[in-house]
Amino acid sequence: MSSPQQSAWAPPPPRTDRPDPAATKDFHHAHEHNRLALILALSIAVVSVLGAIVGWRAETHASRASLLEQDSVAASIAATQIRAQADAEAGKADSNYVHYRRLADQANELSPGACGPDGSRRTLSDFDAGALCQTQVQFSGYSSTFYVDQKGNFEQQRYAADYVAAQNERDPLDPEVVAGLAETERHHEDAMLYLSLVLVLSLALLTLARVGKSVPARLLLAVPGWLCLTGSAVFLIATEV
Amino acid sequence: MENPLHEANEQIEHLEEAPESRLKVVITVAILVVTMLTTGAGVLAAIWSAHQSETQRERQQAATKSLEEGLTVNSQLASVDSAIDDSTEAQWRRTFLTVYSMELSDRSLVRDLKRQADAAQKVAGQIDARLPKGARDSSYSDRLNQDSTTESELAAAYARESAGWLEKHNGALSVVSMLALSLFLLGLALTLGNRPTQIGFTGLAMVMTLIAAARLVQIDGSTIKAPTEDCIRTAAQANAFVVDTQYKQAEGKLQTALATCPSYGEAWSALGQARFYQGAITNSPAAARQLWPRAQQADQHALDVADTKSGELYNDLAFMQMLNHDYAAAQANLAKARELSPQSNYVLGSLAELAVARGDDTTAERLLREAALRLKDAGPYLRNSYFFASLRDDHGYFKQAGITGPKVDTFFLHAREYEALLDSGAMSSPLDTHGAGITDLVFRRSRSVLGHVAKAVTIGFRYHGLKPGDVIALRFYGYQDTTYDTVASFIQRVNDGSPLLVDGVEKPDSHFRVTLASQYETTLEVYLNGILQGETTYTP
Repeated sequence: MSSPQQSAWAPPPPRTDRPDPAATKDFHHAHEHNRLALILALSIAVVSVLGAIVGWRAETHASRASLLEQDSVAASIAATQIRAQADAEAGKADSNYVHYRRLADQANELSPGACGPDGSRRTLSDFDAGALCQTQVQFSGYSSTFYVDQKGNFEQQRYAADYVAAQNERDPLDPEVVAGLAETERHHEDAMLYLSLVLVLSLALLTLARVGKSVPARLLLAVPGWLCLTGSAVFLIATEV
Repeated sequence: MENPLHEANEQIEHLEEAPESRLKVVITVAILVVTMLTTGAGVLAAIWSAHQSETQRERQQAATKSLEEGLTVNSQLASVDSAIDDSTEAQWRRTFLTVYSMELSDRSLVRDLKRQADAAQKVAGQIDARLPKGARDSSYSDRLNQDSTTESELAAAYARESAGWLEKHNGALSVVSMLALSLFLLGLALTLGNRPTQIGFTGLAMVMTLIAAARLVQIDGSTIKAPTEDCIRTAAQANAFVVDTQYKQAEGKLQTALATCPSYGEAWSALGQARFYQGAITNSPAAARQLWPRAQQADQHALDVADTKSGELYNDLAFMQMLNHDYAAAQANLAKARELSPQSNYVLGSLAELAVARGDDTTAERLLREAALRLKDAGPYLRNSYFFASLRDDHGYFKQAGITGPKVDTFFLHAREYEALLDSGAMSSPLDTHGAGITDLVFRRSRSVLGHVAKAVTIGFRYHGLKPGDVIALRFYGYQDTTYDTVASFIQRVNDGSPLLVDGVEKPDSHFRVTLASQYETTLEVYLNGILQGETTYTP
């Protein structure tokens, strides 16, 4: 068996101090590529964490809104009940006042001026009228001018409003105020939901950027992704902190 | 020669044992776990959503029922009130016709008047026979409203329960979105060639999955703070006992309800009230010392379990703390109450009471004046039957709690004077008697026929220095000087032609004869231009 043919010895190429431009460019490109990939990976991680936080905030706002809405419903039921009680009390007062007015009218019909200081009592009609006048006094509890209009009619609505005002002195929950608070929470929840859409967009852009082959192509997608991410972070801090 | 297929197989096995392959196995298993967890969270969200819809429907049913019953009760009350007024009218007419028949000597007139009186009596009897049992009791409307109140409480409870289910549902959805993100990270990690990034993404996804799983367990384990129907019905029975002033029984029922539903805020408030009134009706300081600290505890629980803490809850707790001499805590809670309810005169009144209890009469007077000025344009119901009536009640509670002294008495006297002043309307010299006065009050049963037949009372007094523009208010209060008698009370304005001018004596049974609303002890308070001139009591 013959030994393989050895090639003739040749000296190595002369060393030069200047690097090869093409190789350097490739090296830089690869380095930048790796650094960008790392930044993109970190960005995706940040978007994911931010997405989880936004989801949690949206849930918190939704729960608060729902609780407030139910409180508003409960307060509304309570307010309706107070209103119903007020109407019942006002009706009672009105019935009393109607008797007060009617008794005076009947007395005056039987004997004109019977309830006045000059009312005289001689006949049966006069005494009947007198009894009606005396009875009228027993119905004077609601004859306060506060509840009687200029025509002498009892203002049921005014009495009911006074009753409601008295019940509200203890300042129970105002259904409208609570509903307003619920509305605010719903707005916050909506904001978080829109924010999550922006974050999904950011996630898509950053993921697509990561599979890009060249640095410019990656940056073309990554920059809008970062903008979305930064904007979302700023918005989240501004609205939630 | 070796089989090339066997060699390839060995190489594959070798590759599978490489660290990259192990990581891929881990990621794949993690994806499986996260997917299962996501499915579980989704299913729970659906179940909780169904519960939420069900309770929402029950809430709507209860609310509708409450409103329907409320309307029925109101129409029933309207007809009962009208019938009571008709009966009252007939009875009084009979009384006055009888009085006239006893005062006259003309026999034919007397006979006719008696016949009329009998007819009126018959009418009253017929109406009374038609009235439902207990219709004249002051608690009749409360009893009638009980079902409607219970249904409205049920509706509120269902609303709270529905909110609880919705909270769980929202929580599950949030978990699903977090798991979706970790699923995405795991999927991305599978496609990557860079090992550190792969590990980073996988680690982050695992952390997020763990957090999501823990949150799901927490949501599943959380209880919904809403009373059950049983608890509400038991509390309604307690309320029936309260209406009948059986506070001890009410306390027992409420304790039963709270043993099952410890987060039932309204029941804690009701328990506080039951214990408070249980002590208050005894009028005994020893009973107050025993029961009121327990009432305070119940009020504290009511505040603690409330989702939305209202000024009312802080005020109620502060008032009990005040009566139990815990002034620092009362001050802090009233500050909260004021913050939450800045427009409430009720809270302002409590602040004034606390100030006087602490001996700061200057602040107390300032706050009382502020409340009185704010009530200037309010209606008589709000002033007399609510705000000042509460202050009158509180004076009694202060005495029972041992919060006494000249400053306290002066404060509550001024409250009464503001009440009289605001009720008297315009006057030439408010809170100034310019040296005039009313003395030697007489308040007794009238010795006339009216007094004999209708138990009418009469009043008398001596007056001096009265001039036109002065206003005399004669105010009657029943039930331990707390309930204003709107029928018997009256205001007398001094005019130029008035018999009550300058100096003189108003003799009993000469002008003033009135019938009282209360069948028990009644107090007459006489005010001149809003300044108390004297008070005296009469017991039939």
